[in-house]
Amino acid sequence: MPQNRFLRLFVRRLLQMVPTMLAVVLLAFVLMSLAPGDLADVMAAEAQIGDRDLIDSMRELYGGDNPWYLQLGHYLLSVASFDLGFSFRHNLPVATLIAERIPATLLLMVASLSFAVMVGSLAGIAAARRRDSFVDRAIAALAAMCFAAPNFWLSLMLVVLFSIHLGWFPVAGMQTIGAVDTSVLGTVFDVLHHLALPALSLGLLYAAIYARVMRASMLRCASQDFVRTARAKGASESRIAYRHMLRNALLPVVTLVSLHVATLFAGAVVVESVFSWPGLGSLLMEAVGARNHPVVMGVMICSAAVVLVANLLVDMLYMVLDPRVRL
Amino acid sequence: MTPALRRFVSYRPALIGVLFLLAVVAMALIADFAYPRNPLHIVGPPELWPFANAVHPLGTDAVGRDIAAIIVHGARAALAVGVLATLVSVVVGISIGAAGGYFGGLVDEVTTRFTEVFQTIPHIIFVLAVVTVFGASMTVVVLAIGLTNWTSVARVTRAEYLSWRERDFVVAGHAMGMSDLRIIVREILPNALPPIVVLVSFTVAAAILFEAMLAFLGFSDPDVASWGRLIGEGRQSLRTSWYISAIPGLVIMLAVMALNFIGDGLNDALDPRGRRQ
Amino acid sequence: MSEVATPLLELSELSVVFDTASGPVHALDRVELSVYAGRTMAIVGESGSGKTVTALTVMGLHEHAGARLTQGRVIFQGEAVVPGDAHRLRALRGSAMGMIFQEPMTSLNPVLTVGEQVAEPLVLHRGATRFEAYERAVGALERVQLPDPRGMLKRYPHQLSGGQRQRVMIAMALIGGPRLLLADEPTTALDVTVQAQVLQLLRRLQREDAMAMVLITHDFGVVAEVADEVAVMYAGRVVEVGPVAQVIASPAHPYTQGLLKATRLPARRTAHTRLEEIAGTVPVLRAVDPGCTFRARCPIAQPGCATQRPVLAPRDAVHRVACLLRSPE
Repeated sequence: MPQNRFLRLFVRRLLQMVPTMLAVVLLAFVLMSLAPGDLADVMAAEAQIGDRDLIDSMRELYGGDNPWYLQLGHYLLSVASFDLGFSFRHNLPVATLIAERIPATLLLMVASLSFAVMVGSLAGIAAARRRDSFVDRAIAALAAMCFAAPNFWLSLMLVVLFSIHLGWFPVAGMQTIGAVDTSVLGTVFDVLHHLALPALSLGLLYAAIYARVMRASMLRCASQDFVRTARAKGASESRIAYRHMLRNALLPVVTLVSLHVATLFAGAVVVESVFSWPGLGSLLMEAVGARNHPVVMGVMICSAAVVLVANLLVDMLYMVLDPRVRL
Repeated sequence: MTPALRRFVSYRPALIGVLFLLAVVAMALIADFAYPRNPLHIVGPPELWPFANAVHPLGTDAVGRDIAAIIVHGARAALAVGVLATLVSVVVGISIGAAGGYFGGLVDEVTTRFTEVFQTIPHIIFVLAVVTVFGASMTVVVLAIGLTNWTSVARVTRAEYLSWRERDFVVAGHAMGMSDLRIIVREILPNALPPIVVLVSFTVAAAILFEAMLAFLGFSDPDVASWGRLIGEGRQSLRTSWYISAIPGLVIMLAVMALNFIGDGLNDALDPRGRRQ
Repeated sequence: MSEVATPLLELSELSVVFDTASGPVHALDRVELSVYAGRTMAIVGESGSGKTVTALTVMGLHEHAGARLTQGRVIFQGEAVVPGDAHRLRALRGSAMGMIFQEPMTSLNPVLTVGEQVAEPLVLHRGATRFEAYERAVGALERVQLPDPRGMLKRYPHQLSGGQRQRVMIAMALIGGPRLLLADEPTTALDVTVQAQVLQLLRRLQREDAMAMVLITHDFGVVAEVADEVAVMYAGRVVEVGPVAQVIASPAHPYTQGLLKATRLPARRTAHTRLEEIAGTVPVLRAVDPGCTFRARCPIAQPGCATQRPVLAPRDAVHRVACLLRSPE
């Protein structure tokens, strides 16, 4: 029964995630401990507290005097209860800060990925169908460039062309400050308008990868027996490409997407910085500059969690596409 | 000419890649001769466009530094970080991959999990976390990049060792009383190298991109000429003098493309079954 | 005297070439064949004799396999379809002409359900809605004796056995009500026990629908069981053609004789005869052979066989053979 297949995967994956997340939290803890000065010093420097007594009481409060295993245990427990510490700079719990920023980053990642899969796949199909033609070679050349170009540079070049010279898209931000149309539809369009360039600059790299993979995959599919059967039934070439080959050819792309979520997140950090997109990336940049350790480690742990969950979702999608698979 | 070399040479993009890479290396080597003065010194009027003045063929940046000088000197930083970080990645990756693939069992479980952790945390976030703690000096950057890029090397190495350890000559080695370390390094490693060599080219490209990214974000030594940093500095003048950001980015793109082509060529040369499209 | 019926399918001077990296390979050389409605014509020969290429060319699928027509025509229902209008051919495929292939394991799309694949010809050619097409698909699956046809609609090919998959292929090929069915080694990849069942099923369906069937096989046993006429092919040429009983009882061409000696047929009571192999293999023709292509392996070859090409000449009204030494002068 189909439901069982998904449920089993889900449960098994959740169990596997636990040790990985534990390791990530451990890593965060280790990094924080390696920082010069202890936690209390750092936090004090943050909030610019100079009073020695206050610092000492904070140290006691946060268990700074305790042996390392107790500190670790304490940290693990707090992370497990979604308490990622406190940011004095923002005067908010880290978890709240992250929760506020995550939707913007997720939106950017989803938009970029959708763009990359759609445009990349279409380009790959076009290249495969017109193998060795000018179109094929042009797509290959374009893909090679998008693959090699640093995404932050691509962002800037896109801004120069589309924002500065053509004025089609805004330069930065997620929404127009002081927008006139505050209806839901208006806001949605406004956000989409701002989303265009960031998603494009983040997604082009992956579009290039998927185009190449899709092309190879389609060519491999084309020599399969079931394609001959479909032709023998009188299906047109485009029907064969889109109805028969596509789902089969898409499978390697989906596998790649699973691997790409982590790098996509990384790319998002940089792109957010360029476009002042209010997501985790910009939060992270700011925290790194201010040496705000709890925030930085909190973002690291959260990003790992996001990657694991996204991997699970993509794997479930793979199961939907390929009925033969039992993951 | 061995067949592998012949295959490599017959793949034209790879040849172009090698030429470009040699050009970059040449740039790094002649930097001190071509532009003896510190490239970060102001030498001319600010925001001079490329080709406007023969003295500054690529123009000047927002404060008046010669862009061509920065590009030529920047090749050093790019190559240094690219090669050194890759060295770290390769050493770490091979060690971990070989250990897991060769010993199997619990060792493999542990190393795989360990690899997974570094695959799950987005690389740049890890690097930024390290930089937050330890600062952004060249050493830290090289180590941080090296310690994140090793996962693909480890994966490939592991797969190779898993397949090679069953071979007869390995069994013979055991029988002769060779130590595990010797078998790993002297017997299997030379055979496992081809796919790793292919990966090296791509890893160097990734390291260069990474370093550029960090420099762009401001995490590099301000006293060293860097392509990424120049792109970042060019942001201020994007409206009027966008070439300041465009030129170094173009150079990075071409360098990465060159390395990618070389990697494809190596792949073709060392494993012709796989890639022929 | 009865009228001479017009053949449903006629191959005339059909010549097909593969353009390979090492030069052209002549797969078919002026093949002549006539298939009549309601009758089963078997095409028999070793691998490499051009049987499959013939079937693919009839459907117009030869180009997708990398071949090109250099000469000749395929006439189906009085109409020249190859060379012909691609759209017309496509309209015929799956509706008036059906084909089933050798490998049921790989010939079905793994990501589509049985229902989707069996119903597809109706959607393509009869403009049926999904619902109508699926209803008809249930009927088609019933006809091929698959259990639980309705449940079968939702299953995937990897959940079926080889024999079941082949039945699905048959249902899929027949659902459009074709006048001609091409079956390329339909039972070769199946278990022996299942082979007989599938062959009988094909025979029965053919009778019920009064279709013409072209059955490609390398096994004379299959020919004896299912076919009315047989055409023996060697190296891209038809070397003998006639009613099955007659060809088996008195084979004229040395190649046919060789093939029969290599097959154990119950009708010939060869229980105590040793099976003999024909020495050698089918040649790959890089140039058109001016003489007889079989002469290298022929026990009765003469020098004249190298220079003169044998054509199909009648031994009697229905039996023809292409051999310089065996056809009546």
